[in-house]
Amino acid sequence: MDLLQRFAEHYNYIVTIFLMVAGLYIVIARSNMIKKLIGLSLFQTSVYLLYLTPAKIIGGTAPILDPAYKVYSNPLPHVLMLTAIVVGVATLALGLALVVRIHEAYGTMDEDDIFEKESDA
Amino acid sequence: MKSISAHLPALVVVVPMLGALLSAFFRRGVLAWAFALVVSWLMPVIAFGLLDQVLSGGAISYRLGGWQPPIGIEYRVDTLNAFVLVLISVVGAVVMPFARRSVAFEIDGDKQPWFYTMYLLCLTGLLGITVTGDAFNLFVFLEISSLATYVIIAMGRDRRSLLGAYQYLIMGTIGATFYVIGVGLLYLVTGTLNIVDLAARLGPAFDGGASRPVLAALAFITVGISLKLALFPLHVWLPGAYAYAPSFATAFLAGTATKVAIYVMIRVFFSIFGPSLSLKSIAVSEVLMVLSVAAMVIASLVAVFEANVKRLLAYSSLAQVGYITLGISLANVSGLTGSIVHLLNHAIMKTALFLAIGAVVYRCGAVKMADLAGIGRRMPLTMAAFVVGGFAIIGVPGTSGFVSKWYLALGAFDRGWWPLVFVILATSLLAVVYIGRVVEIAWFREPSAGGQGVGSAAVDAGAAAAACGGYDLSRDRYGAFGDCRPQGCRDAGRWPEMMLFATPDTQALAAIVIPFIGAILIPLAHRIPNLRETITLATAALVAVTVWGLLPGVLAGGRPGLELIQVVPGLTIAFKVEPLGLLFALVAGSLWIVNSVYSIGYMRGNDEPRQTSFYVCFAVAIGAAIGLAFSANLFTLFLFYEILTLSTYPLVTHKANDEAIRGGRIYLLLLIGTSMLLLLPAIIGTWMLAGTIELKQGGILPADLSPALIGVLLALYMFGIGKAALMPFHFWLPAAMVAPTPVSALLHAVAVVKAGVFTVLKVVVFVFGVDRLHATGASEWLVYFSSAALLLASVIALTKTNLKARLAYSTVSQLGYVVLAGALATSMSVTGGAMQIAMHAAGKITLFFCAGAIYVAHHKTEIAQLDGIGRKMPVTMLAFLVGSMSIIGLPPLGGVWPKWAIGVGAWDAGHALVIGVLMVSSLLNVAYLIPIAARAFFAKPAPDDDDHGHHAADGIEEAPLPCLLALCTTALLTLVLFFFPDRIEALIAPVLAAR
Repeated sequence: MDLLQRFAEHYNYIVTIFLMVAGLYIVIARSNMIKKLIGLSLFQTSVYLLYLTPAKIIGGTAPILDPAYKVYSNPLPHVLMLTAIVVGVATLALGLALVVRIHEAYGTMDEDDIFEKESDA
Repeated sequence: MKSISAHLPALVVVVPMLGALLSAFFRRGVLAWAFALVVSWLMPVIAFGLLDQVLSGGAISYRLGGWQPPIGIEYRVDTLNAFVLVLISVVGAVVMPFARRSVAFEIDGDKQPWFYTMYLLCLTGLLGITVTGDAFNLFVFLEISSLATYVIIAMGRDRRSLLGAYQYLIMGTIGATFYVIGVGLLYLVTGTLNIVDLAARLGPAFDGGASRPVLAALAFITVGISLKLALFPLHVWLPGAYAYAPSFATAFLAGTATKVAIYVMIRVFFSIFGPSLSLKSIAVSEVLMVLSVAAMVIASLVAVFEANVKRLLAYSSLAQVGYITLGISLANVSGLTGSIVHLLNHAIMKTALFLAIGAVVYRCGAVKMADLAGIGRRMPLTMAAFVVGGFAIIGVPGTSGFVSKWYLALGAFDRGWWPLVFVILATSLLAVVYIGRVVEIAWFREPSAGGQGVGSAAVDAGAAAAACGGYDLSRDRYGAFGDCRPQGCRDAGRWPEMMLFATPDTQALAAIVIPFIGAILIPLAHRIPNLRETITLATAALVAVTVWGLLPGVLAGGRPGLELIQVVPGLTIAFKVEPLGLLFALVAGSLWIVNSVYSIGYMRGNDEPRQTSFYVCFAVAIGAAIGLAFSANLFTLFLFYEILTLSTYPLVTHKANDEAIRGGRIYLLLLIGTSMLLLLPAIIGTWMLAGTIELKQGGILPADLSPALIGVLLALYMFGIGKAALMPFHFWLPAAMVAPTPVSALLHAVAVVKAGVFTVLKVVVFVFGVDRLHATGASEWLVYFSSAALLLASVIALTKTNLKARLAYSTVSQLGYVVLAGALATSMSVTGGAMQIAMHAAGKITLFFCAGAIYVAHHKTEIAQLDGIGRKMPVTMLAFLVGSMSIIGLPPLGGVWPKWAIGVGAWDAGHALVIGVLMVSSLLNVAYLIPIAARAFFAKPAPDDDDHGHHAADGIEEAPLPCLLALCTTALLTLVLFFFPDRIEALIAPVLAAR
């Protein structure tokens, strides 16, 4: 019972950690460059959750001062994550562009194959 | 104006960012380049302006958008990041002139404006990381610079650059994300992102202490940054990224990107967490230390075996990053100073190296080791810059690298991790190997047949590299600068009067400076051999006159000297003329004239190639020998000791064939190796024990030192001074025999070995103190050791059939006398040792002159070929006989006195056995020297011994006149010296008198 309660209380964090580790695992374990990028994105996304979880207060609203509301969410992490999302999108776009170029240059986007080609050359 | 200076912290970021935007609008690469050049030259102005403000007015806090920190983003500039800002902007500005040709060569025309956009964005990011005072803002700038970097790398010509960029993207993003996770955790704990505010809230008042989230944050941030700064084993992205990026980008990134990451690490460890939390609460410092050492050793080893020069330099960067993080892990003032100084130094030296290689790529499109053969002769300026940068990487004293390593070693001692000192020095030795490989191939290998010379010389490229290398030369200032202790004004004021060349003080300096000036003038007269040789002779004469001019003053008890530069507190380049040093300088200075005359005859007689560089190196070597003679402290001594090694290396490899290169390798590795691994630790140990490294009458070591410790220190010195050729570190001497004979004469009689034994005597007299050493008996072992060594060397000499090899082992044995004299540690024996320096110099130079004369006239090198040669070369062989007799120690020749004095000294010291050793050794000398002369005069010439067109007729065929003149002079000198031992004794006596 106790365990279940703690699980429920930390539900967001558990999801965060799961995404983080899963993303990192994909990056390390996959040799397909696109899949690696997917893993990387997943990894980055987990950070958004990490920041946003404590910032959102149950029952809180957007921090626009109004006498009707007493409880506000913390706006700062939301703003930070907006920036992080932009960074993430840029990274993903650049990564994909690189994979396109690599595919043109090597005819494959499998890292193992490419290393094999390079060691032959 | 005032309003602008108030906004400098913002302009540091705004200017390059706007520049990046605007340069994207240009259609033509050259215009974009010009625009980027203006922008990047603007940055040092801003950075220096900030530094000036910080130094005069303390840390600056700049509120962005008018929001009060810690609510708004704060830009905060203190001395540390002002310093990093200057570093980045200066590197950015210096590499830009190089960019135009290099980028035009490596990148398609329509992409060039984009390249400059990305370059400026990268610069924006790097400067932003440095200037910001907000942890999350730092992440944003980190990503700006990283994204720009990925693009820049991907623009390389090789398709592997794409792969490098992709790998860097993956690793870099993981690193940045780790960092941002850490920052998130910190935000959860403290509720702030402002660095100052974070530090305050995590400070002593923070009740969480080393709580779990804080430690987790520390771990995430450390790993994240370590990825960005390529700390082993998180470095795998770096070699690929650096090796295949455009040359210009590599030069820029190598100097800046990892440096900024290191800055962040220092900021996080020392500003945010504070060393007690970040380094000491858990074993971060130990882990960091282990990883740093692994980086230094493994990366250096990989570099040693790398065939691609850019990759080699990239691995070298990894090793150098290891040095920097090692300093951080030491967590004391010396260590951190070493880190910060090395941050700057490495940025400059690695930029210089990559620029030099970039220039080579531009010129011949090659980065493979094998393609660089002989490139030094086609691009001398560029490769000279490479050599200077390489010296700095190695940490040769006189370059910036030495200062960093000195601090790191001190830090390691302070921390009590003294084995680290050896690791630091051992990896420096690996640097000697990998830099040496490039230098060797570039300068001493014949160029490959393929004519890939691009018509137009990359003048601006070479100049930029040279400029960067040049910074290394003036690094003393930087060393002080990194320490943020402005100084040097005092010295500057003294320069005009130094130039007057009037007092004995300045005269001493002149004796050192004149050969170096000569070394500069000689290449200018490259095309006119007569003028070139005149300069050599004039320089030699001037040096001799100057040195002899010092004699009366010193005999009268004067000790002229001066302090030139304080490199770092406690380390000064200072000179003091004392009798022992003057004696050595007299020997070196006088014999140089004779040797120059001889060299001219020999080099012309043999029609040797590369004569100009020969004379240049010669002059530098003499300057170094005299600098060594006059050095007032161990640091100056070590500096000139290494200059002497390095300047004689090209002389050894002069012939540039496989044998010469192999000999040169042994020469360089053994001499640098012993000096770095043994001598330098000995000097550092002396510094730690005595608190000074000044050479003082009667020794400097504290009185309460245990004999065992003195013995260990003595061993470090004796074996560390490899030039003294004490067995088992004598191999370099026979290996160096591949050099032209004038070099052998110089090495064996005048400069190198004498510098070695002179250093031995100097250390015995001025560091340990003769009485001290004698009283403690710490040198007892050395008496037996050197006795055995000198006998053994004599026996080996007997077995050698090559004339020069026999003479080499004879030298090893004769040098043993001086070491023995020092070990006996009585005033009489030390006098004998000093005499031996002079007497053996005259005797051995005669023998080598004769050997060279035989080679010039008859091209003979083996003793067996010399039968009957006395009839063809009577004068030469007579001189040889005189020299031999002096070496043996027969009256009426000078060589008798040192043996006499050492024998008396041995009796005083109660080592009667040594007298027996001296006698046996003299007999052995007879056995290996006299038969040569005897064969030459009395044996019948072999009928078919002459394969060089000379007839075996009885006609006299002597060597060219200059050679003959020189060898007669020195032979006469041995005779003359017999009558004046009292003069030498009188000169030396004051050194030993003060008890």
